[in-house]
Amino acid sequence: MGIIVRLDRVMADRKMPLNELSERVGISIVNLSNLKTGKVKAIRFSTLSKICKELKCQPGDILEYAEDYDEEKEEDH
Amino acid sequence: MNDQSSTLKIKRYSRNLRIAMTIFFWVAILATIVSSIATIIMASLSDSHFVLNSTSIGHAGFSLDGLIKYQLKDTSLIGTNMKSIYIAISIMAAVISFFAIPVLRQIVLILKSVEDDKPFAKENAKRISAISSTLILSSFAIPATKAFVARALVDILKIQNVSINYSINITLLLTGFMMFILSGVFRYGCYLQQEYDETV
Repeated sequence: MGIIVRLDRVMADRKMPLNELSERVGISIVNLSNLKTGKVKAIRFSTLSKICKELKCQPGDILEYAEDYDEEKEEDH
Repeated sequence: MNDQSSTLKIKRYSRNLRIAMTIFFWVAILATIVSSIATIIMASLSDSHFVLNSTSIGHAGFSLDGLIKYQLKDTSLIGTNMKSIYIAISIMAAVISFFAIPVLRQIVLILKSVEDDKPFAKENAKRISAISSTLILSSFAIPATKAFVARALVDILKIQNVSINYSINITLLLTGFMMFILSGVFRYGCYLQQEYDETV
């Protein structure tokens, strides 16, 4: 799958720490951290919507498609 | 809230059932050991200990099918050697309790996983599959040992006009197949659980 999660970049732009976003969105720090590092398989629309609301951004700012991106290779490194 | 209370209720039931099953598990182990030892001891004892005498006639009896009880009141049986019958009965007890051990063990582990909130795990699918195999095997083996006991009774007591009928235990066999299907359901449940866990 060639989806890259750019949550860390958006969070850095908004100067939003992980624990604060976790509290605002209502998901655990562990799950949010997994999402940030691209370790999750799927994201619910409800979660994406809450993150976009809190970070005042569009889904496209958080998720990016790259044709030659190999997620499994990325995890191995 | 309703879901939470029903989950708590299921956990409580699982805990109680697990305690009961653990007791049955140890009873089955004890029964296997005792009946195996009894078989060895009876085989090593001399035949004179098992000969029916006038005092034992009238008190002894047996039930082949659980419905009809046969009383050994016939005085012509005095002097009959019951050793083979007792050995056959203890072998049957050992076999039945031996098959109960793995089934009860797997049930205890499944109930433990329900208590730990992890019912849809790959291990549980394997455990149910193991229960299924044991039940299918026992559906052939248990009636065979019962037929063995019946044969010993008929031969030793010289019961007339009786034939031994061996047929597999359909209930155990069907339960075994149902458990096999259930293990497939659990395998799929495990896959769905994994998908759910990896979704945020």
